[in-house]
Amino acid sequence: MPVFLTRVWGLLRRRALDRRLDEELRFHLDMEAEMNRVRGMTSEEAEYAARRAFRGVQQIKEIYREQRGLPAIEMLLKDLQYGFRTIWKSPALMATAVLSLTLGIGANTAIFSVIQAVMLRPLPVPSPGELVSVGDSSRPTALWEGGPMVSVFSYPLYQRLRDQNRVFTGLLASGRAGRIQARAEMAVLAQAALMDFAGSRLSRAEILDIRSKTVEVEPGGRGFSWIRKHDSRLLFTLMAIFALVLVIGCANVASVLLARAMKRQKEISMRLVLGASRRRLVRQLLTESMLLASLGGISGLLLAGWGSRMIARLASNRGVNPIPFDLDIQPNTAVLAFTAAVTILTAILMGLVPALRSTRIDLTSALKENSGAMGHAGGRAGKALVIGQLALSLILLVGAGLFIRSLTNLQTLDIGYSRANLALLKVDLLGSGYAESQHFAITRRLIQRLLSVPGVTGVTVSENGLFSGTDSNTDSLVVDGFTPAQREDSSSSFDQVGPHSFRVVGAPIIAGRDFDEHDDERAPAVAIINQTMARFYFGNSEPLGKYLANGGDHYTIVGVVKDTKQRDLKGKLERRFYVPLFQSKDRFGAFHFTIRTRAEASGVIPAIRREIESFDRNLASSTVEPVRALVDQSANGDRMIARLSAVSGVLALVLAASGLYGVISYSTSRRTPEIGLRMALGAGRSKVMWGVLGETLVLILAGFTIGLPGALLATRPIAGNLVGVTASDPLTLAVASLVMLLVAGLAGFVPALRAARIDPMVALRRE
Amino acid sequence: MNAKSAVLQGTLDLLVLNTLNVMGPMHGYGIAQRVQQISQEVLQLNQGTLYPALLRLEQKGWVRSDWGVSENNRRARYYSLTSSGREQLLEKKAEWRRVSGAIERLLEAGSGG
Repeated sequence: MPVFLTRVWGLLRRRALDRRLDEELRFHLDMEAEMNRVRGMTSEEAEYAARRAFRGVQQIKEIYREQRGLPAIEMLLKDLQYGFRTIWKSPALMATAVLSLTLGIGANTAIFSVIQAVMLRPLPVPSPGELVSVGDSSRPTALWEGGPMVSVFSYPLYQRLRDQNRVFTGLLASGRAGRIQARAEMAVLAQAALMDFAGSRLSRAEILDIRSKTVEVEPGGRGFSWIRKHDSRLLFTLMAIFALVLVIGCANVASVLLARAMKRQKEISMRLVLGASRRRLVRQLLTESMLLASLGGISGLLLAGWGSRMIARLASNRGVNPIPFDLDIQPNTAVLAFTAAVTILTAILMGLVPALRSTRIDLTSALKENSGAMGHAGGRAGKALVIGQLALSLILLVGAGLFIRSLTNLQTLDIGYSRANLALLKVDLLGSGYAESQHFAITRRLIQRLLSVPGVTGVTVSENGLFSGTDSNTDSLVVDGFTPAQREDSSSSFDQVGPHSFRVVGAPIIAGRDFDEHDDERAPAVAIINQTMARFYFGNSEPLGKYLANGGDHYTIVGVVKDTKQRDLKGKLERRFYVPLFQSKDRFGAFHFTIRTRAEASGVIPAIRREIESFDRNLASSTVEPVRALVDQSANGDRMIARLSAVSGVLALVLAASGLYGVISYSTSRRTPEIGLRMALGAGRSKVMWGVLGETLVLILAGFTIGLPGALLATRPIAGNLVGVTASDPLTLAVASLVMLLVAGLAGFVPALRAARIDPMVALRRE
Repeated sequence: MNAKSAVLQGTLDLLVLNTLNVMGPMHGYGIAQRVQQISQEVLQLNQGTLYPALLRLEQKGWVRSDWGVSENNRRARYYSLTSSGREQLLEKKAEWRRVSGAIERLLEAGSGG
């Protein structure tokens, strides 16, 4: 058996082995003493001589033990045992510590598992490295399906590519049947595949043109790239917030540990005097903080399972066109490793200061009296911790304030129409079995049926709808009399909409007219543009009567409509045009009906649903939502971050306040005799109270001095995410400071009051 | 260290193994007595260090220990040599002779010149 294994064995059987050694040594000493007696010593002398020949029974035992087992592990076990005992002795305090660590570590683990699932982990498919996505999703010639922008390919092109290309082993398309914009889309295809498909039918010039384009193929195997673009800032902001909370929690536990270490100062000094090495003591104290952190880490991991599901749900919910968002957020090795790393870091962060502080003692003075040099040093360290906590919680409070103000602004943002009394209905005609040739007729009949529903005052239809999660873009718009300087100048979003669309939505027509029933396939093609587009292409000249061309279609501009938002709240207003849906030669799968109601839309939705079902049972799967809810949902990320930052701001403030309370109480209780003496000499109660309050204020002011510049610095990266409020918003800074001053002041007020109630006689007697 | 020499570092193992080989199974006290007797009290054995040494030898598998009954009818731990311990002893003896012989020769050469 290798020596190591015998040592492990020795470790496991250490009790039995201890007994064995005791018995052996006793036998040895007895034999030796017996021999000495035979030689003529008195029995006392005999025993003494036997022990002397042995040279230190305890020392030998210690050497024996060290050799027997694994001393490092044995020591660890002993420290753990000791740690558990001390935790057990003050359960309430320790429970609070573990709770704050649980929240801190749990929140960080939750956000990490989401980040990891979204960004770092490959898709759960075999050989994800072989997946690519074709087409450039950042180009404006793309279709927005709520998730990634996708390039549009015609179905025949897709079929030919799938069956005949020599580059890809398989090709999968998703989304609806798109319109054919062959020239633009061809440019993004793999050349080999393209030439294979179209080579014989293209002119020489076109072939040269295609050859000059680059092929845009991006790796598709790694994560959900669109979430990466859309939500990474949000996730990392959350991570930063939670990291700060964890640090504040650490500081709190550190103060608790520090206070406890100071209470144990006599014990610690005694052990140092008796020859325990400082390293040994530091290790023991760190074992205790590691124990606390581990408890927090384990329960944090459990909490994280729930938290990450919640975050993923909030991030994925997107209205009438929900994105299949099936993140695998089960804890895996990476998450476990992250939690373990955070736990260890936490333990070191909160344990090291108290451990080093409490073992650095001027031994003689520490042993002489209770309130020695160390109490002072410990008090200083405790104050530094509290100042740090106050500063960090001020930063979090300012952040929370900014996010809340931004969210409020977002919720009342002018989107160009009233979001009240509007509902959006999505009907999938293709999926319900209707032939494409029937679509427009069915759509017109549906509009009539919906208009008959009580409480409905207007109905229109469109391809994309409002906040539905889908939209259309082009980058090949040609405008009458306008020469584009760059590709960006030819881009625009657009929608194909039904009659009276703008009246139903409530977006005022600024010039010209709305679409009506006459704008159908027999009438000349027309378009309505928004103000931003009118300004950009026509400046001060008259847009009405001018031409637009997109793909192969030419439109006459007949109206200018007020700018509206229909995709998200935060994006800047973009150029947009509208063309009549019933003039379109495109093929559609689903249609979005916008319904104006007399009262709040949610009250009419059941009736709308019944009407659809009675129209055709196959359409029962249609979704209908109040537009207000859809708009709100588009701000889900902001709402989540505002809520979570508010929660963490409050949490941080409570932690910091309790830290402050602890430090002030401690220093007041140490000064009790001095205060008693001063009161006996005539100092008034209010003077004493103000003295203690002054101490509190100094700490709070120090917190401000660090926290305010810190907040200005820390909120800079989120400035771009804020709506209607700057990162250095003075009102937010003032309110956050005031809140902190009040809460922290209250925390300091309690010990101040207690100090003022000190009975001088009692205090002096204690001296 | 007065007139007596301390047991040289590393030689304790050799002494213990040899004693067990000659005397058969013995308890710790017996081994200590024997080592001191044989060396005619020239070697000063710190009796306590014997026990960690015995443990070390046992961990290496060179000796084995079992409970037995001593000459005065008390329970005692008896140590005996294992077969691999016997091999070790031969090796250590040979090594000791080689080293001490070399030192002897060195000293001889020094005094002769």
